[in-house]
Amino acid sequence: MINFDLQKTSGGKLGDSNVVFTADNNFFFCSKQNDVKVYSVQTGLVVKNLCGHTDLITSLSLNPNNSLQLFSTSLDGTIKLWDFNDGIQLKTFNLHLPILYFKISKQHKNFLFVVTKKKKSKGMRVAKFNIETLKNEKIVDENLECVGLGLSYDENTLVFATSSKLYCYSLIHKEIKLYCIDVNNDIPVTSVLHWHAHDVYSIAFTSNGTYMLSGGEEGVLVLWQLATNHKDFLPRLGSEILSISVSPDESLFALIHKDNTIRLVSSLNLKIKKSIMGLKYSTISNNKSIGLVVEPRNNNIVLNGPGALQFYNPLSDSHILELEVAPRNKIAKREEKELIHPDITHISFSKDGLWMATIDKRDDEEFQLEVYLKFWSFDPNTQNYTLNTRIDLPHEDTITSLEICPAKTVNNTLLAVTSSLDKNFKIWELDTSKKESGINITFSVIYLSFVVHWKCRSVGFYKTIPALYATFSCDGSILAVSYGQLITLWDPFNNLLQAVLTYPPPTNEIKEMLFSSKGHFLYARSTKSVYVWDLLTCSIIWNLKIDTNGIAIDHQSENFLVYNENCFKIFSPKSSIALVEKNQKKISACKFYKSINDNNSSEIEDCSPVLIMDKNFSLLMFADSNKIEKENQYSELTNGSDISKNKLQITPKKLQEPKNFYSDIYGKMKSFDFEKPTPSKEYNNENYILTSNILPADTPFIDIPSNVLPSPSLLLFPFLDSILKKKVVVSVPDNLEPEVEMKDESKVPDEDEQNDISLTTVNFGEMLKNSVFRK
Amino acid sequence: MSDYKPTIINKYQTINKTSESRYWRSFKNPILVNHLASINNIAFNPINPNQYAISTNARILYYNNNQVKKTISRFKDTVFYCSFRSDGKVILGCDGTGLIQLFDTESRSILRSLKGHEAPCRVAKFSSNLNIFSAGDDKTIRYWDVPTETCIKRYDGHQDYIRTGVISTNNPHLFISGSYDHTIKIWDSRTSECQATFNHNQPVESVLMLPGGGLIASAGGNQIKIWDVLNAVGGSQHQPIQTLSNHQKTVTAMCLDGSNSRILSGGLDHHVKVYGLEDFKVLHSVKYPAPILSICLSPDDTRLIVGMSTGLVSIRQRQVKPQEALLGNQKKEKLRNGSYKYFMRGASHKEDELDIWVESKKSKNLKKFDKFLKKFQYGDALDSVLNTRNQSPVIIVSLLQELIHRDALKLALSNRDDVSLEPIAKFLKKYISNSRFSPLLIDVTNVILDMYSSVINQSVIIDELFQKIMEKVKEELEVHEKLLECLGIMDLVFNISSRA
Repeated sequence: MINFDLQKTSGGKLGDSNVVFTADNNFFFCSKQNDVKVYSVQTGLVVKNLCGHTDLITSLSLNPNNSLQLFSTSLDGTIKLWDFNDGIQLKTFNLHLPILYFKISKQHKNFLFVVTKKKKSKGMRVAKFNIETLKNEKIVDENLECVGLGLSYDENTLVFATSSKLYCYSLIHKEIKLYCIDVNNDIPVTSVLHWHAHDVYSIAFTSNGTYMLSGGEEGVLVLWQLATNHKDFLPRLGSEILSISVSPDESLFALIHKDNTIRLVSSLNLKIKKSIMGLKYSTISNNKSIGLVVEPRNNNIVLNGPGALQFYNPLSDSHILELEVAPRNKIAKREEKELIHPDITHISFSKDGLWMATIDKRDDEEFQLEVYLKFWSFDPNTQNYTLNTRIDLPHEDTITSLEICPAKTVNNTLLAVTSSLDKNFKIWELDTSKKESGINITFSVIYLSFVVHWKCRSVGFYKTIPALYATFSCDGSILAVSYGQLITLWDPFNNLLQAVLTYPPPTNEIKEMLFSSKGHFLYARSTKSVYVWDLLTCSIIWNLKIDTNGIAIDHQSENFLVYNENCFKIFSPKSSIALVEKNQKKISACKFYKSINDNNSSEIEDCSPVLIMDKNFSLLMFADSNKIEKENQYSELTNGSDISKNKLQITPKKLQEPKNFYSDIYGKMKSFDFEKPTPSKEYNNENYILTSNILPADTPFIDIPSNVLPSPSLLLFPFLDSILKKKVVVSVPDNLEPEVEMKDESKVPDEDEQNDISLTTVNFGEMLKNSVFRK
Repeated sequence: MSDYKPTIINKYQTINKTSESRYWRSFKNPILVNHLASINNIAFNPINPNQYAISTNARILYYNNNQVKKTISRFKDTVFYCSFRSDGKVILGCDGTGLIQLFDTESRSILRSLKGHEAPCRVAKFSSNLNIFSAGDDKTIRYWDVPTETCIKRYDGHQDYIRTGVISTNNPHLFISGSYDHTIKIWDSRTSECQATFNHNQPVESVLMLPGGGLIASAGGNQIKIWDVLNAVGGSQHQPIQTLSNHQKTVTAMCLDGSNSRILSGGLDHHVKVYGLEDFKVLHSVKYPAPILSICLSPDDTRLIVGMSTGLVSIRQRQVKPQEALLGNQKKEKLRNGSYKYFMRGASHKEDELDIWVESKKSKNLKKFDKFLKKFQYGDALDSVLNTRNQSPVIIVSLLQELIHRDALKLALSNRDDVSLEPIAKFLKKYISNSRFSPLLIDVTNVILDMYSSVINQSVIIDELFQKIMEKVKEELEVHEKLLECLGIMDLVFNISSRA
């Protein structure tokens, strides 16, 4: 038996917490299930991953005393303090209760305000947590669920709310003052803003309080100018807005959408600057999911959503493409009834990936049922699929399967098959003859200015039993259609019935069938058992009673896997003893994935990695444990984002150009790049004196030809300052405690403030000095 | 923010609208001119496609821009044939007395008269600027020298009237004649013998040499036959490579289009049919009011002229697209400043491979109903499509579908009085039995009936419309019943035949 181990996890739900920007606006944090991801605003890529929590992360906040540190809270009952530059976990405070909300203030340094769930009973507990003494002081206990926690701008009042009450807790006075406002009764409301027709999920203020942002179910961002009541809109965002955050310089708004997308909106022109998409369709319910479909061209997985498909790369964990199968304007529901979207029920790709077939269905149980079979061709210019043929109502009843033949037929055309509960299966053919006439009138086939199109080639049926599944063999020579417990084998080209396989008892309906990729086996499954047929003898080899939710074949070997909700097993066609057996909870779909280094897999025992999607829409990759090491090395070499992860140091104060009025008005100053070694480097190095000795040689401006340098008198100050600053560092006791580090770094901004410059005294030297200092 | 997606207009298949038929349909607005006698022949001036000649009665009518400019009436009997010399300066006509006369196109003066045919001369063609082939009811073909007005050669090979003939496209020495003795014969002016004979089996009314000079099309009876000339060694034994029998009655005239890729044929069954030369299948068909005797398409494919036995001439014209016109005449006219053409100059310019394409982002112009939809004004959107004149039903149906998708159909239909309900009810009445739309329209009708059944009997207009819808539905049901009966009968027949 081969050992299968978890190799890689991807997918998952983005943004259970809020989005937090770094102080320099260049990066932002967002939680993805148990991890905190650090994204670059410019590129939208993950630059760092902070792992450590064991449950969902609920809230994030920068340390107000040190902008290079981040607090995170989680349902696992811990608060963690991170140094996100180095990706180190500095401290963990365990509260033993699931933490829902959390706030931190600059004035009350050692206190964290947390809202936790109660241990046993329902309700919340608001507490003040002292991070030095680790004392947890209760503020209020309520039997109602808390819906939010806020801290006033002057940091003197703490506000928290339940579904009907609003609590204000004053922090100024030593004694606790508690106001309780019942929202329903006495409302000291100053203004009521109404535009949203549906629920509002999130509001945010800009820091000076002149604007407010609101978003909700409509997927429209509303920007309110509070003094004038003027509204600006950003409509058609595509999905419900769950959370809004404003970056510190107020140039960006970050919106978290229900469809697992983070959008960065520029506040200047209200245009979307960047979209970061996770597995978008993790929001659709599991019974509508078509499971895992692997697209053959780039091995991206394809997931279905309401009327659209998402192509997603599980290896790099990135969104590739969204394809609207049934283009609609995304509008909010009217009144209470949910809008009915078309569901994509089946997808199939041709082996070269140049053709895709989809079936989408819209059934509102009131109006005419709409079912479309659509054939899409790949357009290499746009790298997208374009609609080629649409067939309205291809069958009279529910369609049970759809497949494009993996191989071309004798006369070099491509075939596809659909089976339906209306007892028929239909074979569709790619018509390459360049005639426009000769239209099949029985189906309203619509050609969209393409010469090639698909048309119905033949209709088949066997007795009067509903067809449950249809599939082609790998060479396209056999078509298997299952009717109840019967499997019929056809010649798809001549429409001849070749054989009927009857083994399972009539109660076991064959739900799915697959031909082995290399041999002559047919694997079939009912909900209760698995059957392996030898097609040469038309006899059954073995069958096994096992609960199944699906099967998949390995294109590398003859193996196939069977999965149900709790485990997956890999079998070889020769024996009913599983090669691999792995328990995993909540499996919703399973597929063999093409291994990264598939060149050296020669043995039959070799198994391709298995990709699992669970019910939380996390993608788990399992692979042979012996091979994992090799592949890890390989992926590190090839995966660009990994490299950047190692290299990129987030040093917010340094990466940013100095911001001052001058540069705001006249643009960037063209300055020489006097790069000093990063402070973190200094801290990491134990021998400080040595670093300061090395420093002049390190300083790049020494290497610059003297004729392009400014005069030495200008350079003197920055140079001296750089040395002086080192001495400050040296004076710090040799202690690597995080708190010390915190203090030390916090001095950097203070120095900045001292070197405040006014417009009148700007000269090159000042600018230079300033830039060096900022850096 | 994604852009607003305009409503998708459904596309339904239409059988007749191939690009080919669209092309032939663009020959529009027939001008009908009535003459006294049947139209025997039409000929285009090879130099100027605006000018053509029609032979009818004892005259040749010389047209310029669809108007008779000159009349040549120097004949004593019916003119059966007229044709231009390749430079367009000389026109010839042959009449019932057997006389062939050559005229100057400008002055109409007789240049030469060729006498010799003893019976009506039916066809005469310039083989070169100085030579003419002619044939007629005296069963002879004559080869003339024009300057001296003498007959150089005389061929007696046909057994019956010769009604048609054509000069080979790639060899002016060859003359192909078709006769009522069912044969097509090829003659060479350099020898005095028949070179090849094809047997059509029916009196030949018209022959055509297909481009390339390898194929001959002959029309006789209701058939058109295609012959391979190069294979014509075995005398009259060989078979046609293709037989087209798409006409119901005798095919009287054939012509080629300007690009030499289509054959047009006209027959006594009032039809003109267009065949493609790739597979000789009918691509388009037009019906005319009378039996057709002659047909001609201008060399630049802009005019289709059909002459009929009642003396009617139909002139159909096609508007030429600007690009096509540019291709036709390369010389560029100088554009006047400020004119429309000046403003639009370069609009049809095609990009070069090396050109750098600067894309300008244009916001799409939304249709009126899309603008309403964008503002969620569903009722107004529906009204705007219903109240537009000549609105295609497809657009209305697509909008109704979009309203259903938005769960807004009821909203769009609600709060209407009898005046505002009338258009939609009229639309339903008209199209509810149309098989393309009926599934959707039945649903819409049900919604309307549910909404407004309580106020029925309050307005005469609406009651009447509902009544009519009901009648239409009843009618449709009857039709369906009959169709099902028919299907049953056919099933029975098929079953019995398969058993036998």
